[in-house]
Amino acid sequence: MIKEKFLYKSPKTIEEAIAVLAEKKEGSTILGGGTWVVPEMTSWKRNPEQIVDLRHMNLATVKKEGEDFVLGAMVTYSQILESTSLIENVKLLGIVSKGITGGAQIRNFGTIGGSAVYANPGSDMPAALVTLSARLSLVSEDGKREVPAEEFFLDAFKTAIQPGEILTEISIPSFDSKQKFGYYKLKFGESSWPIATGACLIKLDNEDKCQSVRLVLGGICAAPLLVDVTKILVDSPITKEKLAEVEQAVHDAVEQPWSDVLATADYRKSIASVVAKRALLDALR
Amino acid sequence: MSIELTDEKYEQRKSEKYIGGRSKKLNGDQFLTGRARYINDLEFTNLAHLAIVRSPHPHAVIKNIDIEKALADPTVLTVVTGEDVLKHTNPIPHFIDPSVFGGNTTDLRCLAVDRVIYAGQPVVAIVATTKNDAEKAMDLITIEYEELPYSMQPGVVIQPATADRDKEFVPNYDGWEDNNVMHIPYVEGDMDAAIEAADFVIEDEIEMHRYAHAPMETRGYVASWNKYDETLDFYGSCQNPHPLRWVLSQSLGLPENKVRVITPKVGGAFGLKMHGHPEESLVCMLSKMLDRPVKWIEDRRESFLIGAREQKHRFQVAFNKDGTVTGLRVFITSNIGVLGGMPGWGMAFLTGLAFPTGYKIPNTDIQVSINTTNKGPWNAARGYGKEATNLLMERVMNMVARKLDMDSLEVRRLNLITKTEFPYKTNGGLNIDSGDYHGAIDKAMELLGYDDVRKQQQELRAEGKYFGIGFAFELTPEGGDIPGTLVGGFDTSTVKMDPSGDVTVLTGVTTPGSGNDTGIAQIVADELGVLIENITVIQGDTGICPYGFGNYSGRSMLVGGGSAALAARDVKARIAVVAAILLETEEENLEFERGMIYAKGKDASIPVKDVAYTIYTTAFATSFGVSEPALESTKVYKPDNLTHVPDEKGRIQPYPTYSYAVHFAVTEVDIETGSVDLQRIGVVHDCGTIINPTLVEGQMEGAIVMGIGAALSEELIHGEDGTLLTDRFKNYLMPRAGDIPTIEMEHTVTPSPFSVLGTKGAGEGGVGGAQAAIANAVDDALSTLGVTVRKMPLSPPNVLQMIREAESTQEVEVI
Repeated sequence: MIKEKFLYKSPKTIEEAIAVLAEKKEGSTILGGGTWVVPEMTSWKRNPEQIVDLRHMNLATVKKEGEDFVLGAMVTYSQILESTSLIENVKLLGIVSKGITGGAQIRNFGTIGGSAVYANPGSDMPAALVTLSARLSLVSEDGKREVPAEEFFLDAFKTAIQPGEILTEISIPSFDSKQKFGYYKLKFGESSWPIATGACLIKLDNEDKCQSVRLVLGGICAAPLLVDVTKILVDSPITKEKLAEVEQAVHDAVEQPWSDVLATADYRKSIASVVAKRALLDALR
Repeated sequence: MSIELTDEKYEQRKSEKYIGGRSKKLNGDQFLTGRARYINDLEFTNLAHLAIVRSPHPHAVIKNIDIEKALADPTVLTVVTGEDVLKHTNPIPHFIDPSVFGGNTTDLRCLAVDRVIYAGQPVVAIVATTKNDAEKAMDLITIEYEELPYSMQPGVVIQPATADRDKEFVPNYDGWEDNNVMHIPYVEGDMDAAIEAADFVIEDEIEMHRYAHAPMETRGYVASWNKYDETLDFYGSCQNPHPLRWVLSQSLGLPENKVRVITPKVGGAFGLKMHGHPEESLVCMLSKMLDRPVKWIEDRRESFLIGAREQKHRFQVAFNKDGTVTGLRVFITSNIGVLGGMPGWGMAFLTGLAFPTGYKIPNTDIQVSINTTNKGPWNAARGYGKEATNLLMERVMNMVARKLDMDSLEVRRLNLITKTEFPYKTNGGLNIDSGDYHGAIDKAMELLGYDDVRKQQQELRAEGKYFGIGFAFELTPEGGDIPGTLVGGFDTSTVKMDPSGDVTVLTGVTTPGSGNDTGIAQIVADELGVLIENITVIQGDTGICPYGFGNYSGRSMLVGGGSAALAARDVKARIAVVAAILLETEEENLEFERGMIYAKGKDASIPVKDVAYTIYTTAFATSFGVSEPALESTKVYKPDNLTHVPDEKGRIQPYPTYSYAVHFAVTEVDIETGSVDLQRIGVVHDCGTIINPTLVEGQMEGAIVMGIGAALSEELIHGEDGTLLTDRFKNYLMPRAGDIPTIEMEHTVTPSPFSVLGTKGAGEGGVGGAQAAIANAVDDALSTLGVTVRKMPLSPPNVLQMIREAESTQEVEVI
């Protein structure tokens, strides 16, 4: 049960939200879908003075702006799945959204913005955003700034967002049609959060030589881990030997693996290369 | 209003018996439409709410408790500590006191006094007008602790992180030399000689972890003290209302007949809701102090503090090259957490007693060591220790087969009791009633399509896949009675018919939500020859039900159904006397069918309800030869095959009936991540006479899913600091629908010769069998890598570690 009374604010505009937030910078919690804020409050881990609910701010839209898809921070997983043009282009986003643990209720409530701001290592979305080279728009009294996903996720449950700032939009570049993608998720049962995710974007030329590659692991470390395998793969066909080199590079890149009650750091270190390999092979399927 | 069938419908149904049919769940519409009322749905005037401050430390001296700030809060009605508990209550009686069996015991109190011995132990109780206020006031309590060394595994001492130098370890309880409750030997034959004579001996181990009961509804209680007539009403989601009434009367110092325990609908129990929990006495004490009803509903994270089953088993098995097992030695070390008032710790007792399940092993030496640590207490959990016996026996059979390169089913066949040998007395003194174990194996092989699956395995192995098949035979002693305790093996029912012909059954067995009320109604409907729609079953109220022991050990049909059958027969006999007079025939010519009584050989019939009305209204003109014309009878059923009189070897026989099953599991293991893909799971099951196949299947499916969880993912995990880390379903991984393959199931029926209707019991078995079958399937899948399964659960990290360990051992062997 929620122990403490709190102020509930439901601003209608960005300006109003910024003002409300500025009044109580430290004591405020922003409410997106509530799928992590509410359980934290009922389990007494979080006792905010003020809740700022973003639901009436018209942040639940998916737009195409130039080459980018722009998703409001309050877009739910279900909305992503309903946005045909988005998931037909950025297929990875559809696959990730469909596989969110918790079923229909969580997909109907959980938001892409909330998942990004939570920065839970055991969540699918942070690594997916890094893979997709997403950019996150943050607004505050001081104006607006845009942070690339790679720089947004700093640590477990820690992002570049500052007190007083609100994540309003996430921009995702549209897919190059020659780009292939792969995804592999390991979890310990339907109710488990992801223990590890691997996502891979790869472009091959007509001779099946790698032109570009992007490989990101989620859940393995505190923040999404972008492993640079460009030197290994670019300008070369993907051979068994190359794959082994990628596996080794991934293994070496995992310096401080994440640990939680479901899986130790050792376990995560030992499966990192497997997850990466499977994501890469999935992209080449 | 009575329900009657039209002639046409009656004709359709009159030849059908209810027993053996799939009668719909009694009052099922209440559940489907949300009208079923659970403890948290009941309404009370002036209700107050309890919140409990629990210890953050696994072991510490309580130096000081400051409750002043909380008491000053206007929303707070009262705050109590261990000192108040000492003043206002007596110790909580143990459900099973270890001292009855020569073990160490301790006084149990509903709040910690001077010392806490597990993280999560209740220390301070706060009552306020709302649950929010009570929880909010928890922050106003200041408790000063001095941390002490603690033990999360028997014999392993951890120094508190805050200690600047090592402190001396003290056992959990004053007056104990160490943390050991007791040691129980079960020895039969000569194990040393068996080892000497055997062709082979394997020494190995299997470790079972701590996991939870996890019913959908957690525990919850409301106590309501009536100051005018000094009586206490206790509403609780519990399994054993009458024995609990005795416990409350003892701890509160009230006459037993001034306490009434009422159980509303229960949303699952699995043993968790057997009593001895501190919160039961606590709400009663507080209601009495405040003179108003007090309610406590358990949070999920509180529920997970209670566990079961954590046990290590080291064993030696002696066997000959033909596969005959000649001896088994097992050393069992149980980690029961702290000693609770609940019957949980006794599970370890039963693990030992149940050896060697359905196998004929002449020499057995089973030693059980029961140890407390600084985890939360155990409570009885489905299987009640016998699931561990089954897991171990089935791992043993597989290891013997693997060593001899034999089919594990052949080893089982060779060693199992054959169908002509029943009743069969086991080494533990259990007298197994009946069965056809070999027949069940045949059926299971057919259900699985054994030869095809083995062929599939060869093909998949050739493709580099790790595919395994596992079996388990499972024996479940049912309907137990533990001497010197209120774990009773008999029970009582009243059957009464109103002048309208409606029938009420009052019984001492309770339902945890499973549907035994439906089964009992089916039995009474058949025995009385009435329609099931005219029957109401009342359970779980000590104010109106006959004394009964409640729900555990697969006993509901055996003794609840059994006593109801006997009472129904008695009522029917009275009706028959009068019906024969009214129909001008002899009693032996009467046929009772679905509410009608027919006179054989003549065109005459009368509805049962008319006879009932006649007896009530004109007994002196019609009820000739009926000495007790009341249509009400109370009968006790005490099963035959149960005795506490020790045999020549000092063994007792505390279980009357023995269900069994043969389980199979098919798995594929991903050796790079350790993930186990459970592809098939199935069972052939014998619970004796089946009253309602739907209910039996539901019980077995639930138990199998619990076994799957136990095998693969469910685990209560504590941190180094002694606190529980798995506190919700996001980190305590119960299987969901998507994790479970279709459960394949077939019944086989060998009625028990020792029970009223031939039933044996359903509900208890299934957990250990499914768990063992999966363990054996994983072992089979990974056997080519040299892996031996020794540790549960088979979670990906544990499986990967087994693979790595096998790799490193094999490398050593090569060198």
